[in-house]
Amino acid sequence: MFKKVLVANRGEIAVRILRGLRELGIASAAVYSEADRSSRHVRRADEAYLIGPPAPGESYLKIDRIVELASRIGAEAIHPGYGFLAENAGFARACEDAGIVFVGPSSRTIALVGDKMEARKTMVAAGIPVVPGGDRPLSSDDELVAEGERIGFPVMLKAAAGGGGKGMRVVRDAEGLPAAAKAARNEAGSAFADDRIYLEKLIENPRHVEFQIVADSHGNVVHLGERECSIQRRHQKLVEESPSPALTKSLRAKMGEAAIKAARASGYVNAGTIEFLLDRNRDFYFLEVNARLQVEHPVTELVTGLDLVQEQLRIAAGEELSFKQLDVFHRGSAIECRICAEDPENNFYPSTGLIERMREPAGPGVRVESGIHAGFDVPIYYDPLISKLLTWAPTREQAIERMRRALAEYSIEGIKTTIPFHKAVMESEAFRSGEFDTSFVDEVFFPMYAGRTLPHAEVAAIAAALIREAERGEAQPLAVGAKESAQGGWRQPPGRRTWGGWQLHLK
Amino acid sequence: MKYQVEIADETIELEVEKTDEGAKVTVGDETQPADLVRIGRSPIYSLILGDRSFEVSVHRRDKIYQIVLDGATYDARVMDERALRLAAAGGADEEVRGEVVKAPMPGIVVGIAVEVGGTVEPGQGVVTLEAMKMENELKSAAGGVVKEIKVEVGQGVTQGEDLVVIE
Repeated sequence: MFKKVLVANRGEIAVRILRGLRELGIASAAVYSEADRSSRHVRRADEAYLIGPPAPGESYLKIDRIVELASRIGAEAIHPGYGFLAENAGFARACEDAGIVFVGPSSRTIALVGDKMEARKTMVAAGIPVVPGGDRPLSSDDELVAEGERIGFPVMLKAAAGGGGKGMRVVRDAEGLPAAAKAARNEAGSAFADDRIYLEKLIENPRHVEFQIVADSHGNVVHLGERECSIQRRHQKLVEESPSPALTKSLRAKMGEAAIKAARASGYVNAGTIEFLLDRNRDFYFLEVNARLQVEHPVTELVTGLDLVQEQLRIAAGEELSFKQLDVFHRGSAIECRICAEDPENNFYPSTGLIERMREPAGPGVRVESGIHAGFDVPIYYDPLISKLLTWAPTREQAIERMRRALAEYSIEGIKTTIPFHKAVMESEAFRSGEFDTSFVDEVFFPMYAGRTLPHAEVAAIAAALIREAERGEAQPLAVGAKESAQGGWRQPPGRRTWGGWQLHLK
Repeated sequence: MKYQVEIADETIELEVEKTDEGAKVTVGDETQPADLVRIGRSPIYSLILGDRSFEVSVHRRDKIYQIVLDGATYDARVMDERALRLAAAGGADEEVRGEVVKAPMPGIVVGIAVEVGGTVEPGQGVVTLEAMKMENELKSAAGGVVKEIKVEVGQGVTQGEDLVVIE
């Protein structure tokens, strides 16, 4: 096993990886930008190195600087987390060239699965169902229309180098194709410096179900079951759970087998995810391979009892998997809510700034993965995901109730977060019934949510007015950062000691 | 004392009356006893309204009380009778003529689509702000002539900061 590992990331995922390293007794090195000097991951690591200014392009994305640093400090491996350099084949290659182990698949595999058309071809050859469509780039309008008519409208335009919804366009007829193709090419060209596009048949309102796989360098591949990720807003996952309410035992077995085949076909080693679309007839189609540790990996950890970060490190160190497919058991139900620094009452705009006070939920079946703390100034430069809240329970209903309870306990003050949004999702009939697809949040839930009245606006208004009333005649405001006084509207309750609670009596 | 509280797109009028036990609060036709206790020196308060118990946290930012209640954050602007009278008499707040496009969130200015003296159509994109890897195009609600651009590309702005003044 390694003696020292560098974590090339920040925020909650860096904290998560550092915990895994600590448990394995491996020394850890964190990297941080100027905006992250007081971030939690810096304090959780044995060593910490400043790698540049706040903008990711000048710090967390600096391949040469990070690889050179790892060599200099004697780190034998680099864990990239997710995002930043996690699926950058150039970074994996730079590690390989420098003799440093990249905790993830080989640069060859990353490049193969990163090219959506190459990945499709590979899966077709392996006998895995893919969405009907093209496996060649289309340049002329005539070619596009011919291909669209061959597959049958509606179709989805996709970028070969795609990701994050960029370059994707739904097209419902041949007339709309040339203009949509032009826009998709421009978007793909500027996002990926690669403007190749292709067509796939549109699967209407699919569910998004993905399988976690782990593969060692000795040829063993095991799947760890699925994660249901259909609760999305604008192609961004918000809630994930396992098991999926949509899968039967036999469908799970079939999809799991396909996931293992997909991993083998792409020469995958380490932990990875095979994403599928599931249509209304319960037919599934390969979507893509995520060549990294996923944001939602703890969902799988809760139902399998495994530690995926530690498995990743063991695999990267050349060890054999310690379990076979038949050793993997799934127990109970787990849900994850992604808590983002966004204001759900204000169009999900980012809400950055100082976290004045924070209280994390606890109690039975609750897990929090966060990179924040009271007194932390949430920077504007990075991903809005600040925390992940997970619950586990024997049944899905109990896990949902536990999530509602945990969300109610979670308070993050000073910035707005998506906590109230998640509460409303947990209370919605469609989510509770398990019958929803990827269009649910955008088309059904969000319009309803945006139009609702806040449940406690009146109580909050009363609280504000009472505080204002108490402040009358006070030199100093009594709310935050304020000083109370025993005179005026505030007095010490009789019979209590001086350190007791100050009580407001409006006299 | 009578209050008007602007909160979550609503305006709630209420009256607080001091009593021996604490206070009585009237909203609409309903009057109920209210007891608000601060917990130690923290920003947490226990509110018992009638016999319902709530925990609220309060942070004050300028004239806004930020109330966290049951996981949701409410921004409350409280005006008392006197403030309301002043506002009604005019001159309570400085009025800005025309429209000022403000930053709805903190971010970095990555694009300015207008020039001073140029005309702006209603709904036209004026400034692009980036924060947390997301670009947001800010539109002008009103049309008019650009009078002043208060920021430049690459500059960081805070929430509520004036960006472009349109007349």
